[in-house]
Amino acid sequence: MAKGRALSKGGPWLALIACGIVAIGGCRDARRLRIWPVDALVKVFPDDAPGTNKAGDGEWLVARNGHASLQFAVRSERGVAKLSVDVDPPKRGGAALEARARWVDYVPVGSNPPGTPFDELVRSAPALFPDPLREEFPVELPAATTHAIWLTIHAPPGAEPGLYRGAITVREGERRLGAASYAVRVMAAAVPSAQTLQVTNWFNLSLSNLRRFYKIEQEYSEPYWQLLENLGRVMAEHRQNVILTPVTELAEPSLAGGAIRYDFSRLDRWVQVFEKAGLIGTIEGGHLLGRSGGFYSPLTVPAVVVEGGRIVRRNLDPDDPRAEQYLRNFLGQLHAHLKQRGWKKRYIQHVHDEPHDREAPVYQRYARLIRESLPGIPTIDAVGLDQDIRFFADVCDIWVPVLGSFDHRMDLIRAHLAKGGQAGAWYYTCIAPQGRYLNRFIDLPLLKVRLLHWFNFRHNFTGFLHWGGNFWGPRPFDNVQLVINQNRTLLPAGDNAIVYPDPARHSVLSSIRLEAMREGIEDYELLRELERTSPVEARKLAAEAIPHINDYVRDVESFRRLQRGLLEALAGGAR
Amino acid sequence: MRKTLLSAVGVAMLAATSGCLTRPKIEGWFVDSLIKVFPDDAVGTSRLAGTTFEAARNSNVNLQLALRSRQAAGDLYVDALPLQGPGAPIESISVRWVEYVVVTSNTPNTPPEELVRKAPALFPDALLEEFPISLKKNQTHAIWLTIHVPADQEPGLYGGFVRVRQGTETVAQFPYRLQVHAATVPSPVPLYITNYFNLSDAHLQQFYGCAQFSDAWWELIRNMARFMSRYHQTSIGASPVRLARVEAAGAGLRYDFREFERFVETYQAAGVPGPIEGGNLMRRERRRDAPLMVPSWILEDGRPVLRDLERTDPRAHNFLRSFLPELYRLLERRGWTRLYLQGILDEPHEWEREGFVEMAELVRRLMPGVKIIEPVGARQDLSYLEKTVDIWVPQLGTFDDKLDVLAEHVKRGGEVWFYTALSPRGRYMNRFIDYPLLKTRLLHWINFKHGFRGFLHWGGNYWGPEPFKDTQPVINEGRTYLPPGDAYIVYPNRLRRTFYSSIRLEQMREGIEDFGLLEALGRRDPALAREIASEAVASFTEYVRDPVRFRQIHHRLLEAASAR
Repeated sequence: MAKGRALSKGGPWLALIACGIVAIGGCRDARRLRIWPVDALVKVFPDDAPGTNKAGDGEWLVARNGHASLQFAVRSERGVAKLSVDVDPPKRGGAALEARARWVDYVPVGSNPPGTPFDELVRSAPALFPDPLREEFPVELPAATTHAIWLTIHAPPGAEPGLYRGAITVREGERRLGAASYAVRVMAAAVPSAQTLQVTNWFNLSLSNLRRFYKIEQEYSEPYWQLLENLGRVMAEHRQNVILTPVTELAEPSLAGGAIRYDFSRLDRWVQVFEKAGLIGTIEGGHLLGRSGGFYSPLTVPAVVVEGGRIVRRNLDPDDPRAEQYLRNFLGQLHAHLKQRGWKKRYIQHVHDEPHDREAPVYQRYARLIRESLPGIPTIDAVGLDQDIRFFADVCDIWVPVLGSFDHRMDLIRAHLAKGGQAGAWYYTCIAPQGRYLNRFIDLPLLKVRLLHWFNFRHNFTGFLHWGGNFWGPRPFDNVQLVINQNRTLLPAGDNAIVYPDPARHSVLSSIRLEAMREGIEDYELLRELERTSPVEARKLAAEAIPHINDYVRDVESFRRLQRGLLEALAGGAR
Repeated sequence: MRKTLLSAVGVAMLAATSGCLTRPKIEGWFVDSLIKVFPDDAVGTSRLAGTTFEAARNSNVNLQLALRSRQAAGDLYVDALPLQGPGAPIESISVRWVEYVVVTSNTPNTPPEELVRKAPALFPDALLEEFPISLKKNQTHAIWLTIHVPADQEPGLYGGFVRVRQGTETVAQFPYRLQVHAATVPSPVPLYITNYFNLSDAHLQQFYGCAQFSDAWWELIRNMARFMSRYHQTSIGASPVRLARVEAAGAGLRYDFREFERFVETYQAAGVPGPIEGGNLMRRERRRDAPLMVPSWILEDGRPVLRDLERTDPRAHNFLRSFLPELYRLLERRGWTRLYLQGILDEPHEWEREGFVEMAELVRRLMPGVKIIEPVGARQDLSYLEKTVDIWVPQLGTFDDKLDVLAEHVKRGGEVWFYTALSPRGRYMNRFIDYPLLKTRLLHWINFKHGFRGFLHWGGNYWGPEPFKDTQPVINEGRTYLPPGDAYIVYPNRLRRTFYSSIRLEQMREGIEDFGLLEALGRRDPALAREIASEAVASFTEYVRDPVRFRQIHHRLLEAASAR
């Protein structure tokens, strides 16, 4: 979507509607409700005065098979107790696009990420910041408080290119409080149906986490699987196509003739659930090594062993001979199961998260063992490249370096990719990087979130990983900065989660950051598409958006111009 | 502290001198120290009508001076010059500045009018000591003066001023007066005070870099004890289980209590008299079906290790039956059996009564004469505590209609303190950062009004990783998001291996001293003392909320306690 030029055809009446936004205020009682459009890459705050960041008159762009977010700020000095929104979807002739309205809620951010220049932040904390997208109307609009209505437009693959017009109407009960019209141009460009970018957010799907928010009494009960399916659907809609899968926990061990046999029925159910949800994609096998405590504590191997004739789970020392025995046995059976199911092409295996050079010998030894036990299956791990990675380089197929650790090590990544075969490179962000880098904290501009995937294209990464899917604290809407690492690390806002619990619908709520992620992923696929026919143009656009690793377009209008350039280039220069 | 006729003079002097001497223009005005000052307070917000304050002898009184400048101003020093008057100059005036901390969300279940302001926002709390300071452009900060009036101070009116310097140049002066009353806070104040402190190795390593039992660690303990002594803390939180040095001795264990003894002695030498609170013998997760665990020393592979064992585990029984008699012998040898208090579980529930009673009876058998103390929610049948617990510490908000039950316990020879934690909320008093300071101060007026002998709070220093940026740690295995400031009332001062105080702790101290005055008055005129206390605290949820009104009541107390 992009702000285009003002409509010139159709006379003043049409111009009034298209740009719309019937004015500030709209309707019967201008004093009662003010409504104005704001670019969806700009965050709206409670204290925004009417007209703050009002978007210019024009049209919003959407690719076919793509999504566009529109945002309308609303404010009433008196407040509205029960505000509802009616959506008139964008129409052209008899055809209509899909449109859905949600309500942007605020969450409190206590402190900004340390080491981040003020000009990289949206505003100074402590303050309320917009993030969750509430699904249910009516909602309360408090007096003298600005909120945003979030409109998501989806253009089906077969939508006819051209200008579509729609409107939203805000009401309280039957009473109409205001309205705004909008125009969306469907471009000829289409987001390819087969996604090439691998995207994973990690989810804590343990019972102890989920039961705090959902009516789930037992792991692997029907309500549990239903939640996973619902969550998977939301994430698949947002183009996540990889799911971290705790294979060692899902496999049920039993003793058979003195040996441990694994039943993979729960793994099968897991995969089926996420397939049904449209997410899988890729099965991302969970980590096989762990740590006994903090980042520099000794490595352990969470294992299943027989003690006193009973099967027990133990965290073994890597030098304990039972550790290797366990892994060889387990992985051998897992490999046979993957093969039998025909999942080998879609399975990747983690060894250990963020290994560091102090762990080099153990990491290397176990990574080799795992590769031997899972022939043909790529290993994958997140890693910092700001260390000597010789211990890692040859035993990990898919490197996932953390952004900010490879500014001067792109040559290493290129050399790795040049190996061919299973070699791949994704990247990740988490608590780091901060400063002037891209990331997706709540107090950063949304443009940084969207550009994460322009970055993928720009630097030839083929995947994105983030640990913080739903690692909620006890009150996810009140506390978006968790403490981790044995009480040592206060996380930046929103690092821990990009969705919110929605117990009423047994699902999760999206966030404006997740919406920006999706549109960024669609941009990536469009850039890839353009690269097929006009590689120079695609590379030029990406380099304009991201000249250097932490030098990128920060101005929303400039980004919209680049986005328009991308869409028009794909349409052969025609609109 | 109150308005007097003299205050008009003070105002005039203030107007004449404040911030108009030289550049940068520093605006300053006194604000009642029960009122919180915020960065966006405009010049004159909550300005006191008068600048004559009041104090009893042997007390600590807090004054607050708000400062603001239209330009950024750095290199600022604030000096409080000695107060001159009819007696010796009052020299002991500490000057600190109030640092803002982050409150991300307000205390839940609290009506908006009971809160100071809406979160998320910066709230004043920590008291930092380092100068010079800088004033940001158009941001108000408060200077906090704490005057200690000696017990033998000649009563009368004293005067002095606060001087603000930029480097060596005086940029503003603020005169004020202190009316010293004859009333004297008893020493010690007859009230037990305990804040729990997390002195675990991991915690102190994190914030102070001191390994347990190292010289630096002992220095830290000594400094913490001295600090808390100044705030009338009486309890020595010393867990013999965790402070014991344990060695294998044949098939059993040998306990060396020398570190425990040294710990107690360090506190006592610092002025914290006791009781010694030995901690709880059992623990559990905060959920209904959680098993009761006994932290127990056992032998594993020939080495002593501390493990949480289920209370029914025979190894837990063996540990207790060997450990408690040895501890008891030590207490007897040191003459500490009446000083030592044993906790059992912390907030037991009726469904835990079997395990609780069994453990309490074991303590009674193995440690005769040692008192048992227990914080408890009083919204349950308390009968199982009648014989098992000597010192009941019910949670405020749970005993509004149980005062008769508490009185019966006292009649039986028992004792009652009370506690607050993440509850109560609503219209009750507590000491959260987003609550008015008057609620914190009045906690000890409740003590007097109801004849309670002590106050307990778990949150001394349970800091998260960023105590100034995140005042709301999550506890209970990720299930409970705490109200702001519940987890701690001091801040780490790593450089000096001690604590920074908070404005809440300062008001706690003044409240404890109010209790002392009420007690002193009550010995002479119990009806008047009760009447004054009831003026301030009519019930658990009806109490004075207006600082001006509180100052009037406080003035009445000072005058009544001064009468001979």
